[in-house]
Amino acid sequence: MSSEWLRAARALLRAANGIGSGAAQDLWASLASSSAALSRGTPRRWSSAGDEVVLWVAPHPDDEAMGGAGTLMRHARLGDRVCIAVVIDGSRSRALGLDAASMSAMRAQEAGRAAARIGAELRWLDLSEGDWADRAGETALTALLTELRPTVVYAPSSIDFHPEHRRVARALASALDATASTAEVRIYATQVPLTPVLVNVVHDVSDLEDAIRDVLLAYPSQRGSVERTLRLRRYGARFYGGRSQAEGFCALPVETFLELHRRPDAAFRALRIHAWSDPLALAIGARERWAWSRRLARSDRGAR
Amino acid sequence: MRAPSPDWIVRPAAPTDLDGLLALHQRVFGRALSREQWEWKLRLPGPTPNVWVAALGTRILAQYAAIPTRFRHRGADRTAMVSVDTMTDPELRRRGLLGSLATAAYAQWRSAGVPFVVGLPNEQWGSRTHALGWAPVSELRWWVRWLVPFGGSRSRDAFHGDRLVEDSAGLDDLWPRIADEGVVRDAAWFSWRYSRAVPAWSVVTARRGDAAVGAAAFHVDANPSRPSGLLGEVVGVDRNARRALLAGIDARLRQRGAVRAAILLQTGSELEPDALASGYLPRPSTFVVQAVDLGGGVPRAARFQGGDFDVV
Repeated sequence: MSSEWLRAARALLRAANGIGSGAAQDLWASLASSSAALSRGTPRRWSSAGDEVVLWVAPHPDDEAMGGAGTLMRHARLGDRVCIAVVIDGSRSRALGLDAASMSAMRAQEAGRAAARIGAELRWLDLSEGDWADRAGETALTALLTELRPTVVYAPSSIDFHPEHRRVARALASALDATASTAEVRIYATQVPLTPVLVNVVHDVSDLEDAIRDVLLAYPSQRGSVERTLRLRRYGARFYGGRSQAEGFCALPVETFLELHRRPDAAFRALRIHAWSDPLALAIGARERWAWSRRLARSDRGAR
Repeated sequence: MRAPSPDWIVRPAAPTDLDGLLALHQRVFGRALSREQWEWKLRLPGPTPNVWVAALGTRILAQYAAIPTRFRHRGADRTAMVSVDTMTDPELRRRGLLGSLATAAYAQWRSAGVPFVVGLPNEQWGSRTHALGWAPVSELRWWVRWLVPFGGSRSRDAFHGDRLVEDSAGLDDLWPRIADEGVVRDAAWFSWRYSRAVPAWSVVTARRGDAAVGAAAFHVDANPSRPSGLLGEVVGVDRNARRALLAGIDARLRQRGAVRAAILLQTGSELEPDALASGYLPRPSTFVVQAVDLGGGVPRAARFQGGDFDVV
């Protein structure tokens, strides 16, 4: 067989993989739906009175869109003050072959566009990706917490494989501690699912599906992430009984957030481009999620 | 202006060159290009002259041309050049005409702020491709679907809730929802590239409710013994929209007597699984998309479609 035919055969296999990935996604969504009955307890339905001050801490530009574009839009539409703080400039992405300065400028522009679509205020903290000191992150976030005095803080966490996400989560924990914040912390997921083990607040954002896609598309440099993000929301919807898209959060008091971020890092896995291996993203790191869950249960009992 | 030899001059094409250019096209490609076709394809507004010729008096010896095309490139809309219809009088090949023309055109385009030239240089360019700075950025592969005898003739105008309509309303609203790197596929693009092409193509849009969620263009070639449908491009906000378009176009091609449908797909694109699911199979023949960096960087992240070039 000639090399041209071999390459055509490879194209065929790649396309078949894509079709299979779609079928796998349907299968995982069905399994999510049928396993909902096995879940422990019922998560709280997301709500807002419309007088909250909301701070969303995004390690990279696009983490706010991936983590909860629907929830951010809902906050804004209900009248809450919504501020998105992008901590790192995202300059190490090589998606379009840009140099670091051009990529940083482009991602700042994209973040501005996404914030406008959401209806939120954007704070660009401008720490250079891979080249920032923990202290600089803590200082910037402390200043922001002091200025805004948020009532709700959406936070990245160390339930994540990305070292920069973990660092920002720890810097945020220190800043919350330094400001003696009394905000409710809600951890969001980007591409590593929190899973029903940790999700205790659920928001059905099916009615915002098109608007969510528009926010994600404000980041052309990160185009590859869109389908994965929507997939994660789709699994959430099928598990929690939403129509098509749901966003899940792990709500916890500041002191629990602080305590959990003193734990050593564990291994996690993100959703990949194709859906075949999505269950692995739920399974890897299960022990750490259960450890967190036990700590959350203790803080719940303490609160009662 | 630049003179590669004492006799020839290299300059932007003038309106009076058109007869000479059409005659050259006939000599080089063995088929006629009408005045109307040339004007639709190459008489276009742009930042700088897009057709360059090597001339000896009133005789046109060679042409280097490009279509000024709006590209979303690294997040911004820029006018880039899509190289087309490079031709040299068969009696004057291998004398440096192409190199001189291209060099002069690139210098002018670079100074006008054109970020890159993109195209499908063929094997006849030989070593000049590399010498002029062309570098591969992507690949387009033919995918083909036989439409008879197994297919029915019923038109399929709805697919999992997406309806197909043969008009191009709403394409300016669709483009921001796609916003890929690559050609700006807005209403102006579909209008020029397909609806006003000579001959014209059909444009269909997929609608979900009232909103356009996808668009595609197709036509049936003039081969009387084995008419083939060609799809110029298929864009959609999601898998369902793209598959609705592929299914709906296949039904329309059958109705128009086509025995097969063909589409050029970018290697690794999200359209490959959609095409396979719609009955298309990959063929061994490919085009290598190449580009010359004029200072704005080459479009490595662009999503190309066959209709971006003049091979369909």
